[in-house]
Amino acid sequence: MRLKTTISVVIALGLSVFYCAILLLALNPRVSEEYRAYYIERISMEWKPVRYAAMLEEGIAFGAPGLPVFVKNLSGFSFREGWGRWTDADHGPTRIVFADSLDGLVCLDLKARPANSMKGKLITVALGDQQKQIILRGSDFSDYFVEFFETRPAETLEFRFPGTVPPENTVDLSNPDSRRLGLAMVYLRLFRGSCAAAPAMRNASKGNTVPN
Amino acid sequence: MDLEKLKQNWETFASLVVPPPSFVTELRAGSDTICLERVIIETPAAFLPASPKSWFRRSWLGKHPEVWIALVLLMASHLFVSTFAKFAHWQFGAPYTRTADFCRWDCTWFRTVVDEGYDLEPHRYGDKADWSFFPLFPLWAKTFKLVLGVPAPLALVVASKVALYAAILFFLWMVRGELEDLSEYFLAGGLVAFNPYVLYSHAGYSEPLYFAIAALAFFLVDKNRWIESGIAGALLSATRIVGCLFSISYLIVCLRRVGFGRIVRERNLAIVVGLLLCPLGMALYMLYLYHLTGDAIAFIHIQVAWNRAPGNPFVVIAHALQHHGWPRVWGIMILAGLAAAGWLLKQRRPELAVFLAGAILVPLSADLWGFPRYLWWQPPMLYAIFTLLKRHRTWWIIYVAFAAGMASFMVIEWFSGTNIVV
Repeated sequence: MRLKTTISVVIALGLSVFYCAILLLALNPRVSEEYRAYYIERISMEWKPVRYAAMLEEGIAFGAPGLPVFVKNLSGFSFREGWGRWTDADHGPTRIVFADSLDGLVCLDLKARPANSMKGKLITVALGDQQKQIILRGSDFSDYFVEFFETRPAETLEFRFPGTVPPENTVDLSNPDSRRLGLAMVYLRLFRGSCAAAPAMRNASKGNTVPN
Repeated sequence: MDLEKLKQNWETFASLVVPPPSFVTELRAGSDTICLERVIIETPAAFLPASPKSWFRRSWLGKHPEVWIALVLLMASHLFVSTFAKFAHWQFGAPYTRTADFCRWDCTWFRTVVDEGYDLEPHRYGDKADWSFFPLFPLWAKTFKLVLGVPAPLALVVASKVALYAAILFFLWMVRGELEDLSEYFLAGGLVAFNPYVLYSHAGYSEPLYFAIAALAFFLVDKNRWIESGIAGALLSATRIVGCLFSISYLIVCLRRVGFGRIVRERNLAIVVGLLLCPLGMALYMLYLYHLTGDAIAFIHIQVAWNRAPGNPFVVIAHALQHHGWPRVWGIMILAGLAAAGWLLKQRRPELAVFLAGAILVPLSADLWGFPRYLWWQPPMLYAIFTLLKRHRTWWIIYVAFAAGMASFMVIEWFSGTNIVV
């Protein structure tokens, strides 16, 4: 009887210690940075994306597979579609992390259109600690320019939407899409220097520029 | 022969026949006149081994009808599924010419585990890996592959069919307290063998193995066989993630039947060890994954590759009901499942109710896809259906019509390429 009790106690204690150890292992994964960003923290949009050669001025084509070499990772976007990508608040903050930091005078050229919930709303664009605000009014894709002055070295570009982004199907009842959409982005380009000097700016409407 | 002698003979006879015939109950209830007539006709047969029928009744198989009933139902289920697959082949050229052709969708994921082991890192279809396919079923199928020397797809299909036999058998054990005669054995077993989603037990999926182990675990815990029940729980947690929920059911049974105070006072270590055994299967799998990939809960993290993120299951239910078509059908199934959990609670079976509710809500916290098979391959769900139909006999025909219709439709859809069957 005593032997049986002793064995039971040993098994119970052994299992308890084993489960504690497993819990510790679960909380401390030993994985690559890429794996952690994509599978655990969900801040990266692609697992081992194909890298294609491109300059900052050529930008990110959201409809193309993979990422340009100057982008480390993306977060807060929905899946890739032929024309580009929607931002989706269910996938975390909309953020682009660059492989190298940007500084000085930088012009951002974004071709996008807003989701129904974001039409006419002030959207904050932050490059490092510098913030600008843009308003997207139209339903069609247009180029929007944002100029950042004397930017301190920054690796992260972030789009911040006002309030809580609602699911699209709660704004447009005829739309079954339940994603929390913000902007539909076709491309995003970056020019070193003033937006006035940027080649794309010369062909686009200045009305979309929002200097702060 | 006086009445007392007759009664003694009856009881001897009744003890030899499993299940006991209903007229024995009548005798015990004191309906002497009716029983006397039956005694005169039936009693001699019970004591004459020369009759094949009586010999069978007294044999081991006669005393354990679930063993052969499960086999009969397994064969009938196999015939049903292969017949409709053949019809689909004749009618629209469904790619079914041999048994292994049933191995599609998730079965092909299990095949990668059986043939190649678990992935070291995600590389399938871009960012996917086979970690969410728990190890017990591929191990079970690997045994058939090695013993029979057949390719993995056929081994998986055979393994799921054999598991269906165990599923019917253990479900009959689980509901044995509710069964009165052979016809009820067939009806209860038929709920498993002709489940609306029975297809998955012929297609190399883990559902029948999961169901069999869950039914066994509930049977054992009901008999206070704590350690055996804990071992079954461990196997269950190595079959599917929701298998871990059995720990809660186990705990409920312990607390209701024994009570926390008594467990502590009497130092009932068997109960504690049984409880601690329940999640062992999953814990061992986690340890293995940590060793292989560095991530002990890789089976959860890999869900990103299927665009699944943890969320509120009630939001998923609301969305399902708002959308026309299959999402609404599945939404109605969810409500039926939750209603069944409520019914089980009313029947004072909280351990089954909690397990069923958890098994519904846990997968829904990710998304709706694949939900029907998660629901219809839960022993508490079929237990609830059986107890309901037993109470309302006239509903059997309606249920059977819908179940058989759905089961045959699913077989045909299986080969059509649509992902509603995933």
